[in-house]
Amino acid sequence: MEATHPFDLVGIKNEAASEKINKPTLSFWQSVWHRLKKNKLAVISLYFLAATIVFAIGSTAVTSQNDANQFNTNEAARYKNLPPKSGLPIPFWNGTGHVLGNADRTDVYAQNNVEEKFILGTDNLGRSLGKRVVVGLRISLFVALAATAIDLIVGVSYGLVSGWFGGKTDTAMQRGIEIISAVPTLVVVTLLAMLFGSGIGSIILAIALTNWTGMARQVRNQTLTIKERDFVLAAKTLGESGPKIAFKHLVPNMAGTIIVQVMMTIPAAIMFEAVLSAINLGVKAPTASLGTLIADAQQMLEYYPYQILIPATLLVLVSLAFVLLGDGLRDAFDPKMLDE
Amino acid sequence: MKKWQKWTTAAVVVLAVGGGTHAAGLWGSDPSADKDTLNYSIPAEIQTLDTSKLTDANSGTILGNTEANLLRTDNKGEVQPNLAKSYKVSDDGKTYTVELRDGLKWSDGSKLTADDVVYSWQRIADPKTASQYAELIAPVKNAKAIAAGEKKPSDLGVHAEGNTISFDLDQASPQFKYLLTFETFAPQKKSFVEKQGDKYGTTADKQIYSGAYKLEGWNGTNNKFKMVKNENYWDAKNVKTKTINWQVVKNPETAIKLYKQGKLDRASIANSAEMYQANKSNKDLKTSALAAATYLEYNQKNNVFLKNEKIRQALNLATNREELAKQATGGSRDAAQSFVSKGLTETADGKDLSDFVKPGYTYDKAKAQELFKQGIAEVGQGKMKVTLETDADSPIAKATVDYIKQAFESTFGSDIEVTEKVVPFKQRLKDSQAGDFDIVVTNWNGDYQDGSTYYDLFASKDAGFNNGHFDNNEYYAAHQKASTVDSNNPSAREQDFKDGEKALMDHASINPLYSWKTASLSRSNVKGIVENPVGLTLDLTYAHRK
Amino acid sequence: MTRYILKRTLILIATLWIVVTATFFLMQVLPGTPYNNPKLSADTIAQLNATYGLDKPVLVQYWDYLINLLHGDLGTSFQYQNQFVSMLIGQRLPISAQLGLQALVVGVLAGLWFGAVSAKNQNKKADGILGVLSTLGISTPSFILAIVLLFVFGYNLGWLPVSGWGDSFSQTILPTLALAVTPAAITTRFVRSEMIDVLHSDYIQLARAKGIGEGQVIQKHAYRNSMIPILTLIGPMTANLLTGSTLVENIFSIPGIGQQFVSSIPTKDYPVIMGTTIVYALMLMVMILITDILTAIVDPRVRLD
Repeated sequence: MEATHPFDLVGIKNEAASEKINKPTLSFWQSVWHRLKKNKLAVISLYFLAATIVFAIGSTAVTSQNDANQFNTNEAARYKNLPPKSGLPIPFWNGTGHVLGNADRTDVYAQNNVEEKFILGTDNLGRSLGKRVVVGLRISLFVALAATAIDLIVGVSYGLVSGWFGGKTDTAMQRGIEIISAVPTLVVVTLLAMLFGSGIGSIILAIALTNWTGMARQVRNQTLTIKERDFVLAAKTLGESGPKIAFKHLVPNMAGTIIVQVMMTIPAAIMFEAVLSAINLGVKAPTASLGTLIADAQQMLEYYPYQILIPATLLVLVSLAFVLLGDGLRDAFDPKMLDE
Repeated sequence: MKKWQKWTTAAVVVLAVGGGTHAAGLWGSDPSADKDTLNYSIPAEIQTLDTSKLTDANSGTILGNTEANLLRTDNKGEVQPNLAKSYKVSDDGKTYTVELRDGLKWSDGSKLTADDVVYSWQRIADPKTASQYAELIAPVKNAKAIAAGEKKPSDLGVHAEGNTISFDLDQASPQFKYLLTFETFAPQKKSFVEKQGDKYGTTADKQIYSGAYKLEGWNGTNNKFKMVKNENYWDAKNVKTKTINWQVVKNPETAIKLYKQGKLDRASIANSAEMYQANKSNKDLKTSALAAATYLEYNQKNNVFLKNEKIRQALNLATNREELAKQATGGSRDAAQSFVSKGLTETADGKDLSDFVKPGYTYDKAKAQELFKQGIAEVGQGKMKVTLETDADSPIAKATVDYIKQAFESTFGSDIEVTEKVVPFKQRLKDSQAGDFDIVVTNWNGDYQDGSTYYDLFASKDAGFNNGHFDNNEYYAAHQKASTVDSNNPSAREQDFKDGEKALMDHASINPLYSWKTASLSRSNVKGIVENPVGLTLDLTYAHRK
Repeated sequence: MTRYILKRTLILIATLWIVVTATFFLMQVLPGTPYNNPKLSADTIAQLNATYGLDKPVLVQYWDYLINLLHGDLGTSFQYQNQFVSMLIGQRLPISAQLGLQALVVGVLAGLWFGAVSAKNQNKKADGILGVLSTLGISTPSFILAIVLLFVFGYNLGWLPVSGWGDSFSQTILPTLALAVTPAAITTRFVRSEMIDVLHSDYIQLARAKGIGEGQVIQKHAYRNSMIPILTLIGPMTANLLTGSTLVENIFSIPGIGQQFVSSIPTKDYPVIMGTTIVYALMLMVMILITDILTAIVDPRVRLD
């Protein structure tokens, strides 16, 4: 009798198959994207921001900065403070509002004999709020992105130099950061804005000059860790130059940290622009930014709340999207989150 | 964690109950019915109680109601005796003689004498005091020499003899009597000022009072204080209010809310066009004249375009003042019809000065465009690029420059480019003085109820306040005549003012925009308030609740 | 420990000196005149400059300023005649400190609670809602929140007082809330992630395995261990509050130093701007120093130096 196997061998029959990896191999970035996709809020934020930025840039062709400042000086009485009108029967968005000193809602468009529709209403001089918000969004985003770009360059280089050289250089450079962080950001930004005068350039500079410290700290800490790693030591032994190592090995390995930090800096910059506008150190009038729109409409809250609520909501939404996306990216970059 | 939850819940309950009961009005009675008390607010902190160093309107309101001067203005704008029993002006208008009432006392009970009056004038004249109002006393004999350090303060032409004070002036000055109503020139007690030294006027206790009320509870920075009836005031028997509560309310909307809740007896509604529109039909609305004017100055020293008279005339013609006042200010200010503001004072025949002197400013777009074209061709430097500067003091200021920029650009099209420059008040001031501007929006508050408070600004091409350095000999001649040969002849002087206004318009030296007024909600059961267009704009001496 | 504190204090003083120097020279180059009367003549301005010592060479002014600073004298305000800046700030500081502290306490307490709730219900509905709310909290500048709170609870509902300070506790509620939201949001997010880490850690698993009730696990172990890192947040949150309070004080007419700083900017009141900057810097640095020391005391793993 032939001996039969009492058990059936289960499992991989083919030796080679045991070597096969079931999951597709993903590059670093692919796996980040893969993990990010699982965070719905982050993905929505990403699409929202992408759409906002495309819209802000695209609208340049349609609505110029100058266009948003136009109004008819002799007809301002008819056009000013018109409530938002969508053209659809949506409550609070149908062109009705309070005429000052009158408690009932009336159709202001009919009353003033205005044919046009202003989707977001008009401001106190009869300028289209929609156009002003579009331009304001563009300017605010530009300020925030430009300030962040400066932060990125200054912060990353500062952090790299500080961390790479270590020792006395590091101590001195860290002291420098401590001094800058010792003064509340608002004070520094205010003083710088006073020094440079009003204007987009000076605001960008003022915000950038205070915000880079966070980035510098993070990059420096990462540099200290990564520079002890084998591949960096190997590169060093092979005689690669400092800057080359920095940009070939260090920066790519801390890309996650840097990107997350950037995502934190942008909303901070957007908010600072608003704060500066609130103390009259914002962009030059009549150019609109979200901050100046909010600051100027502050006095309108009691009478025409939509004039402040629209830019304020937009500002909060954009900041919110950046923070949510930042959160998502941080989790996605975190190897602990792998395969969850 | 339960603990945290409990604490948080407890806190929320306390907040809600506190808020709820407060809203239900369980925390005290209605303040707008208390007959002994009035409630007022100022929009910014008191800066000083030092009479001679006073510079801002809010400290002025406080000091003006607590320090009495020799004279005061009544609700008809007439000058009445206050600490003075009577006053006389010599025939040549160069000497004022004032006799004090008998038995005047300071709030601490000490005697108030003619020497206290003289000391106050000397203290202002003294360059060591660094009073920012030293300029105003320039007509007094030796004042200029003292300011320059050539003479001693005691040489000032103000002398006491018993109960009588005499003021010697260099030349007749019809406006001088108004200085005797200002809180800045109220008497000060030498021994008290010297005893307090550096601390004089820094808190309510570091000042003594000669007016109807004394200030209590101001510690130098707090936002709540009160005025209490001064029993030592000469007319205390006619002062019916025992306490006036004051608070600093920075947000003008909040002041209106407090008014509507009965917690304030007055709230200004002139901060923004919308605020004015929303409240102007309120039955408590009260408006009164304010001696303040807003006008554009054109830099005619440095800017080639603005040197051209046709261009300036075109800009003036392109300014629709009625629409500007309606749109940018919501009607809270009146369109300018002259450089001098409305309601400042009356002419000898009882006409409003502004109505008498108005030269006839108009809005004419077609003519403006034609003149502008000619002007641009004469200058021959292509497109006119100018900055329009203003300070960011209120929503109205911003709306005004937005409006003017748009008006100029829509009238003259691609031939002009206006850039707005909104700066803090002090920078605007510096830029104006340094001639570092193209077109600047200037606000001028008059000091006394006489046309010269405006017309003296432009004494000559390079006079202190002629920031645009305009070249207008017709105006300078008229001004010179008013302040010399005609200085003691009211009707001739008014005609000079009229000629001056016409010269200003003909050569478009400046561009008057609007004339100010105060507009406020004012409790109807409070009687006896005096609102002056200059000096003490809110006089509560005899204010009381009926 | 003493050596550490001493060393840190010395660094603090050196930093302060650099801040003072930088601000002083920055003030020199800022545009504008310090006097607020448009009716001044050149002569009077010269006299005023002499009175305030502004006619001396800059280096002499700098030296005088340093010497005076050592005596606690921050100079005399241009705007508030005769008033010493140290007095102006001294009287306003307690008000700002109370407001800041109230906001910090309310914010941190709320944050601890929300964070714990979030962590306990990880990935459930409550966690999701709190997550969005706390993110919203850090995305909204406190002055916008202040305006909205003022409008809703002060103006429209009339539940709470709309301005002032010092008459009743109810006056402090709206400004405190407006300022507390950011610290609450930061703390919530932080506590959540810390507690999730702790709850997944070995010793908590062990405690659970030993049969200790879930309530006790959280109370005894999780909370305590996730509390320490929160201390490190106090510094940055204080910095954040300082920024927020300036505008919030202005909106609610609160006589704190924030309001003073904001109003001294357009009036170019240099002594006040400098004084406030120095006090702000000092406050922030002391706050950071205290938290560092506290962290060291609470957590023996942290080594000093």
